[in-house]
Amino acid sequence: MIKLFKRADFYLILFFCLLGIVSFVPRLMASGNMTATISQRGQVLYSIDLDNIQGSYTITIDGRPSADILVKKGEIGFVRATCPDKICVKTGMLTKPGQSAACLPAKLIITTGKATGRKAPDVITY
Amino acid sequence: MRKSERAKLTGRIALLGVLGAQALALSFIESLLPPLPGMPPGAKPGFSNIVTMYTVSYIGTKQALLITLIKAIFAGLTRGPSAFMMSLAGGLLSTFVMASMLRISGRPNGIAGISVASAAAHNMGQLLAAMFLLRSTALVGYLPVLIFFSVATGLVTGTILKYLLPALDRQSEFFLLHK
Repeated sequence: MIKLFKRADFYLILFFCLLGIVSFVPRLMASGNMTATISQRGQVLYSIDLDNIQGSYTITIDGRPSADILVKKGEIGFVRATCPDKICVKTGMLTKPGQSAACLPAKLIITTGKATGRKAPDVITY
Repeated sequence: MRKSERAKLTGRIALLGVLGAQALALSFIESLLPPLPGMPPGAKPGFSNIVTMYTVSYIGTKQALLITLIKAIFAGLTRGPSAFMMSLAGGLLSTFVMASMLRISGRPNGIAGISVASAAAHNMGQLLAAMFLLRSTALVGYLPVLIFFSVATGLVTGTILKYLLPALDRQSEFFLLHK
């Protein structure tokens, strides 16, 4: 009969917990303006400086499925998508650097980061 | 083929069908759960891993891979081709990890450890598939939270399996030894 716990299991779980803690470290070291990048199939569609936005606006990405992305000061996120599971909308708004929201059926991903030092342009469209 | 051999084969096919259906039912039930707070969206406890792990350890790796494939096809039919790829990548990697850990000589790990490692493998497989689909490495940001999530879900599913074992064994006996 196979046991529920063996000694090696404790080491394995300890290893995973340490791995989890170590992989959090890079996130603590970022600084600068909060930026967002919207990419599709690895192509950057927009890069946005989220700290320099007055009011809010929506970016619509056409296609099957299509998606609406809401951009506000310090926040970005999917607000509408025509895919079946709506995981991207359920992710909610991204408010911290190092977050991401993805719509797999549309091959879309929004990622947030920190601008490095000098002032970045407000929006770059590709 | 002798009559008794044919009956045996029929029993094995029927058992695999029932286990496959149980895996699908568990995936469906957990898709009804609300998103877990603080967790990456779409992250699930992976209850169907209970069935896969039972199948790998008590029936066979090939049969477990078949259940993984059935799960992926179900995901593909209900949620589209990207869900098929995500499910298959996670399922294959976790089944591979389970099968390898069960075969290490002396089997140093118990159900809990194997379950945690296979949950982590499942999540890594899905993360890799998503990164491939999106052609983006940004999703590695989910790695830390996914690792902690694997430990929690692996412990839960492993414990459930431990207590379900007698029932699952009776089910297998019914199909394999029934005259």
